[in-house]
Amino acid sequence: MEERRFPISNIVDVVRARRSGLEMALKMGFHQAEANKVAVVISELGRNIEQYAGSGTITVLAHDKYIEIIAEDEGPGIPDVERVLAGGYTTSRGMGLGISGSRRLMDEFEIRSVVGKGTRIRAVKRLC
Amino acid sequence: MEETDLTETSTIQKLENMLLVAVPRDLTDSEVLRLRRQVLQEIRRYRSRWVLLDFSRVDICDSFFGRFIQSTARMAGLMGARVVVSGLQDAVIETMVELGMTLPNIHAVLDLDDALALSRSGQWGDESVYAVGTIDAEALDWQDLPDAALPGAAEV
Amino acid sequence: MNTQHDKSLEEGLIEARARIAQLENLVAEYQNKIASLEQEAHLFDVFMENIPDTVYFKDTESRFIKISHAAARWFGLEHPDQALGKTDFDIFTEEHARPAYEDEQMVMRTGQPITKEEKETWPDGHETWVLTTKMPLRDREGRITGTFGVSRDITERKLAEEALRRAYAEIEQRIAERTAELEREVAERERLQQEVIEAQRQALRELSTPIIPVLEGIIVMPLIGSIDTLRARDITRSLLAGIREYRARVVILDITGVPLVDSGVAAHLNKTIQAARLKGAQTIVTGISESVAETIVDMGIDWSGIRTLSDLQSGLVVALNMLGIALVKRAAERS
Repeated sequence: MEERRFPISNIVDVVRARRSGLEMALKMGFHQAEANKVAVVISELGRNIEQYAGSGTITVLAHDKYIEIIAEDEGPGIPDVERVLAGGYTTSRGMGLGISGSRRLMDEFEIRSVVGKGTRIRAVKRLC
Repeated sequence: MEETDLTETSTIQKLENMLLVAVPRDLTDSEVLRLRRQVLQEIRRYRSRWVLLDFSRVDICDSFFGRFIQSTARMAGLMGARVVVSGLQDAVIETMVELGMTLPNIHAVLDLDDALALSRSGQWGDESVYAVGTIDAEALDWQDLPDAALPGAAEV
Repeated sequence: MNTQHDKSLEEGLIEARARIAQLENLVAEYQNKIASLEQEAHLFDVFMENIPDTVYFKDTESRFIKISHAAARWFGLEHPDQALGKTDFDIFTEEHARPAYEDEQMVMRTGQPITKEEKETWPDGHETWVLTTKMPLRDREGRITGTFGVSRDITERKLAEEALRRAYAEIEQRIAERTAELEREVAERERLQQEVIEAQRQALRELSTPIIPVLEGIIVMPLIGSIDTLRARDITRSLLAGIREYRARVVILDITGVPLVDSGVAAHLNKTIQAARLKGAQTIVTGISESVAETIVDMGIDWSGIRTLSDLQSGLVVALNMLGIALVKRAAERS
């Protein structure tokens, strides 16, 4: 089981995290298109961290039969998680699209968020 | 940070009435905005009618990228140039479609050959004609414009 | 006259005769006792001469007082008397002699017999196994004056046991090895089966998403069978690869062979068409039957942006139009 942690405080960090994520997914044996989805999810979640929390961490874990992405921050939190997941929360910078889109790309997706304390998102994609 | 002239690297090149933009991989947000600004400047310089955004080198396209393509297309359109995308990789396309990022109103071709064929044929397809003029396109936040056909020249 | 003297002589004679009779009885008694003791001694000698086991009597210092003939042979002595005064330490190495001595001391201390298997170690290096019982030797008053014991040679039995144990261990080892081998074989066979199944599945997928290049820039993809998420994904990937390979600018997706078109299938097809568009190809959907047309409208599926036709031939004509290609029939040759 391989684990890599990426501290996120600017877009360069997001780019680095998603590139590593892509490599890890390909190494695990994911099809090009599936690995691409993993990379895009890392990118979307990383962007949200940079934009709304300022800083946070993305951890990518390559398990035996699935890849796991954990995006954590101590930012303002998401006030209406249900609406965001449903894709109805469109701010001017499109945070909603990032989260609802990411959920469509992965097999498992959970958000734990407390307003004023922070957010933790966990996404899993299984190897077919 | 040094501002490189992107036409000096091979990123932006003029070919006939088309501007070829070889979009580099893994651009940061500020680099993307700089690229867009330079593309618009070159459109004005050469009075290009076509801009080909080639994505052969790009293997990760998230929603920000989608917004970049859309905004560039609208801004270029306001300046009289038609944006065409080419070279989207199969894996990238699959993810974009899954995300619902289908780039409506933007013509896509396989590669440069098809793009040249298109520009030489003079066809603009059945899309609405964009206003022609010397407007500072970036002053308009593209999100304010609806997805449907743009208002006519009079409103501009 | 000596009558008193005669009287005492006669008395004395009677007394003497009585005493002689007494003594004769005593002698007879003693002779009997001796005979029976001799008999007992004889029995004991016969026993000690002939018993095949090692029998021995020891004093409190574990010195031999008497041993059987078999014991003498076992110890490598010519005669049992040669053992008198010797101890185990004179016959065996310390490895066996010491614990044997300790056992005898314990038997004398506790007054309890012990029975155990002992390994005897000899000065020349060889080893034997015996089953030994040691008991406390008591005198008539019950005081412990030494020990006595019997040892039976069980070397053969011990060796046989050892050989059997080794044989079992070897068999178990072989069984374990063979089991591991079989498990590996089964795993390997399963893996090969999986590979074959996967290859078959792949072939089936490829067969079920064929791409037919017709004229320049036009490809036809006939879809046959139901379309679920996995199949839709395969169709999309196959189509994108085909557009690339044949540089297609028009794709004709024929759904005559798709039995059920519901909103799910319609959504899948939509995605495929969007993907094709991003690759630079326009899509025409042909093979819309009456029932499919009814379903799409009744279910409110929006296909207004998609070019659709009822049959493949019409699709081809439209495709040619889109590419600006005209088919011209050559004039008949004059004879």
